Amino acid sequence: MISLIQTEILKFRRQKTGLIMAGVMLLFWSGITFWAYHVPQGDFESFYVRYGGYIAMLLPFMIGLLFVKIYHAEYQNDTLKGLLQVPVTMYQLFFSKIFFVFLMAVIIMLVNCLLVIAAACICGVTDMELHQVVMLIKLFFLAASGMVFAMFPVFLVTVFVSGNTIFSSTVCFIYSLMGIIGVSQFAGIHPISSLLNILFGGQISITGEKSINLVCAADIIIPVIMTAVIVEIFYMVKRGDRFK
Amino acid sequence: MNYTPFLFVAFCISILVILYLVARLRRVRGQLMIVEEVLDDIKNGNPNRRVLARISDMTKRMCYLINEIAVENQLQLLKQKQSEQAYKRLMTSLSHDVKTPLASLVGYLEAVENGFVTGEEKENYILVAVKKAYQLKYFVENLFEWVKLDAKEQVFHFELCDINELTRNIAAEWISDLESSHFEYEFDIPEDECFVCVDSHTYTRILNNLFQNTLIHSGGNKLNLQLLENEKQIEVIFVDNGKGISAVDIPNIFERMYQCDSSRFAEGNGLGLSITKELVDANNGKIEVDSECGKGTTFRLLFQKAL
Amino acid sequence: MDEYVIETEQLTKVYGEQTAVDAVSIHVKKGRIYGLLGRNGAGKTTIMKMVLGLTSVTSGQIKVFGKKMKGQEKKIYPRIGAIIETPGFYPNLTGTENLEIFAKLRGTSCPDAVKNALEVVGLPYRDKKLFSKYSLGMKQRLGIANAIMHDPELLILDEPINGLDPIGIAEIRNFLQDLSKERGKAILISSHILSEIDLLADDIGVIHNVRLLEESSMEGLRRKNQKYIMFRVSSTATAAQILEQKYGTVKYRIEDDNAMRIYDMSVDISVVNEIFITNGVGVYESRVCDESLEDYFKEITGGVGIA
Repeated sequence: MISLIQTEILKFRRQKTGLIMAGVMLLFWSGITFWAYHVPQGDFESFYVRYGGYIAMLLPFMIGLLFVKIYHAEYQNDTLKGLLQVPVTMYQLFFSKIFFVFLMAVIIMLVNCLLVIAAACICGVTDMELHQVVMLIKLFFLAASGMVFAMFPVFLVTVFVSGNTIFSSTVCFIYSLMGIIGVSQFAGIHPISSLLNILFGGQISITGEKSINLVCAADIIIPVIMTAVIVEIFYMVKRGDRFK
Repeated sequence: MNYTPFLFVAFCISILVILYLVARLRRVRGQLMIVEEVLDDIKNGNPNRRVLARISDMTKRMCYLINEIAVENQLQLLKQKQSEQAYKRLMTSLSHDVKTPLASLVGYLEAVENGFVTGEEKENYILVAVKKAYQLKYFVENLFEWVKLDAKEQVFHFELCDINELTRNIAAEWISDLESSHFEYEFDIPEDECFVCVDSHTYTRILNNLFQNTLIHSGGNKLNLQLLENEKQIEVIFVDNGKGISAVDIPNIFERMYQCDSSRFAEGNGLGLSITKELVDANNGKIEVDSECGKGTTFRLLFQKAL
Repeated sequence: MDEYVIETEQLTKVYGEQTAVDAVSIHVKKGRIYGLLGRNGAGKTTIMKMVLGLTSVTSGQIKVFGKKMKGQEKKIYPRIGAIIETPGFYPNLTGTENLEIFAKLRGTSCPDAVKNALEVVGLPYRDKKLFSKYSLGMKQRLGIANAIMHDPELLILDEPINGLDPIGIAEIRNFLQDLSKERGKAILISSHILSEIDLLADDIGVIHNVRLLEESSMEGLRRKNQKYIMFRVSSTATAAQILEQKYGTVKYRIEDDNAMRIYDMSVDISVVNEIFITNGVGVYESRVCDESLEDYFKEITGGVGIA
């Protein structure tokens, strides 16, 4: 498995995707910083939480699209027949790509931590303390990992259409949009909304009550388990007729 | 200060480390099982099995070594098989080489015996039969000689001989044959003595083979034999102006059973030059050939002078 | 060790209404090259995919190394190297990087496996050229390098010479023969080019219209098809002598007391018949054997031929 993840990283060389993602992040960051510059700031905590909220909304798109891209790449390059003879099962491939996406998400968020601290300095927020920075990192890290879990349904759809880029990307878009826009309505139903509620509960209309939090957590975890099982069954059934 | 988060993080890290180590252990165990299976298979006679190792494996050096041993093993088996096959091929083609002239010999003799031919024709038949019989005899003698050489059972008596004198004597004996085959010849042998450590009998065989080869196969009409001496070596140079040997064939002419004329029905056989080379090697000499199609052939023998 | 490296029994593949492969039973032996010959679309690639487990089997059995593939993949796959259709690699990486990915996943049999494999197929090591810029021939070579990198016992190659220039074809041919004869690997190749199969294969299976028409060794096929005049006579000894009398040197071979073959097609069979008979040799059978391999295939495929 580790070697699979290493090869995923190797396959990523010379891809424009990395640059595009970095570009989007920077654009976003500069936009928010610019806006925040002209607004009086409260304390550091609310500052970074707000940032985190906005960036967390960007994440689903990036995670989903990245996964669709690397999953589709195997079909596009016809490398599946080579990989399957190593032997690597489709299931292992699936999870190694999820891992890779997870790694990328974590890296993005950690970079964002630095960017937020830089923004804070730019915007003149003065009361930065160590434990707050720790909380910042913790929040961003949870956002990254949580978001990957929340995107499992999109991964499932990608698998089902054998990496058809257009369909999967559309589904990813709609799913992410719904999750973000309906953050209050869909809490407990839509994994993204649930996640946003858990992380940023204080900032959104519904208060972070314990029971709601548990429901939201379950709402994230159950799709993950279901996806894992369904994908396994799917691969077992479809096995062998991948190549007509 | 609240230590809980740090403890939690430390706990997670240690879990990860344990998982990692367990994974490594399992991998090594898996590799060892594969190695066992592969070694078993190799022992049972399948040298083609390999153990595959990744760069991160702890067992990789062991796996590479096992593969190297398997490859060695395979090469040995291969060499053995090749020489067995070469022998079989030799035997098969030889049996045909004996059957064919023998059949025709018997045919001729039967014709004479049954009185199918009379008078002059009968004489002709007998002559042809005699010629065929000599062919067979020569062939079988060659064969025995070659087998003895191959099995390293030939006994050599090395002694100091004057190679010039020896060559002169051998050449003299061939003069009549050369003349009856309308060959022009020139022998350039120095008058002084030159001692080398050779087996005189085999040296005679070597020169005889070369003469025979030239007479039968070269297709030319001029032969030049020269002995050149320098400080440490003496060179025996044998030149004819025959049809030569093509560049393709040159590397192979000393192989057993090789005939440049690829029809297998030419007179003679592929053993002559092969025997010559074996004999030259046994006498600590070297044999080289230079040739160009249509221009002739030069054989060069090199022997070390006895100091 | 089991007899066959690959053995299929009544292998069938049906896609809905269409039958892609119908009851094919092939047998691939160790140390020999098996050629699957058939037109485009005859089902050769599907057979190979089923053997490799890339496509499910509708009915029939497949045994590789004497075992069924299912459940044993981890053990069997490392022993097989394959190219199916055009090889798939990542276009944003160089050839070496692509191979290194597979080396990382599969493991290799020696530390320089990638370098050696690239050397064998004639591609540069650590070159800067991305796979997207490769020509068809280079892509094919990279595929072959990937298949041989881990020194597998069995090679399954789907039209390996596709896209190669004549020199490349000859190189690959020599290489495959070397692997098969000297290293004893089993090779299954498919092609629609009769001349290539003729030069390369030891055994051949003809696939036509999704069925297996014939499976035999190339030797057997050729022996059936070499041009010669076959004679069965009362006494080959006498016959041989008569033949020599009349024609001087003529290529012939004595099989036994009654059978002989004349390889020289320029002799007039009726003349030979006559001189045999007038000289007291009984002729029981005389026949011109005249088929070429291509004619033979035209015949068994019902006149359509192998394109």
